[in-house]
Amino acid sequence: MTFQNRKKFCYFKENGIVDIDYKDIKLLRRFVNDQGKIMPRRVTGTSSKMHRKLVKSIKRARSIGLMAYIERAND
Amino acid sequence: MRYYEIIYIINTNYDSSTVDKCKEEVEKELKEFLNANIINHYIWTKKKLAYQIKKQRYGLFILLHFESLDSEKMPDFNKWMKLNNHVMRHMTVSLDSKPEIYEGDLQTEKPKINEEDVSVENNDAKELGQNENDSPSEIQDNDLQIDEEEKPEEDPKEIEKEQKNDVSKS
Repeated sequence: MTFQNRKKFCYFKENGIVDIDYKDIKLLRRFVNDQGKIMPRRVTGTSSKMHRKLVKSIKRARSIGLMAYIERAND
Repeated sequence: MRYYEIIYIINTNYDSSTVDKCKEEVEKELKEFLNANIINHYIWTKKKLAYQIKKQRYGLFILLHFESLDSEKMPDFNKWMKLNNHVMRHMTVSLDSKPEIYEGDLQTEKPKINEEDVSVENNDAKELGQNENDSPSEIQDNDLQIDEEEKPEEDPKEIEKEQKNDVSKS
C-alpha cells in the first residue's frame, strides 16, 4: 500500500489569524465533527496555542446557543 | 480601563419599540451597577438557535460593548440580567483590546435570518476535510498491516482438523 504523507498545517498560522471570535461560526464549524464534537489537534493540525483559544471560543459559542452541544443525525 | 462585551438574546417576536425598551433598560442598569461607558449597542443578527432556549427556536442577538473600571459589581449585574424576563440568555466576555466603533445602521435594514449553517463554503474547508480523511486512513492501513503480520497462518483450520481427528479416533 502506498499513501502520501500529507503535511498538516495550523490553519490559523497559515492565514494569520491571531484572535478567534466566538461569533464566527463559519470558522469554528471547521474544527468540529458532524456530531458537534471538537476535533483533536492531531487531526486538524492546529498549533497548541491556537487550539486552546479555539476550544474556548467553541465552548462560548455553545453556551450562547450559536453552536450545538450535540448534533444528532436526522432519523 | 477594561473593555467588555455582552451578548444577549431576546425574543424575535418583539416589535422594534419593545426591543428598544429592552436595550434602554439594560443600558440603564449597566450604568447603575458598573458605572459603564457604553461604546456600541446594536442588533447583531436574527439567528436560528442551535438548540431551543426557553422553548424558542429563533433569537435576536444584541451586542453591547462597554468600558468600565470597577468590575466588582459584575456578579450583581449578571444576576439582574438573569432575572430580566426579556433576556433569554446572556454572556459577558472581557476583551483584550478596544472594540471598533460600530457604524452600520441595522435599524433601517431588516435583520436577516441566517440559515446557511450547514453548507461548506470555501476551498480551505475542503482541504481540511481531505486532511481529516487522510489521517484516519493512514492509521487504518497501519492496523491492517500489523494484523496481517501477527496472524499465524491458518491456525484455526488446523485446530479444527485436529479436533475432528480426535473425535474420529475416539
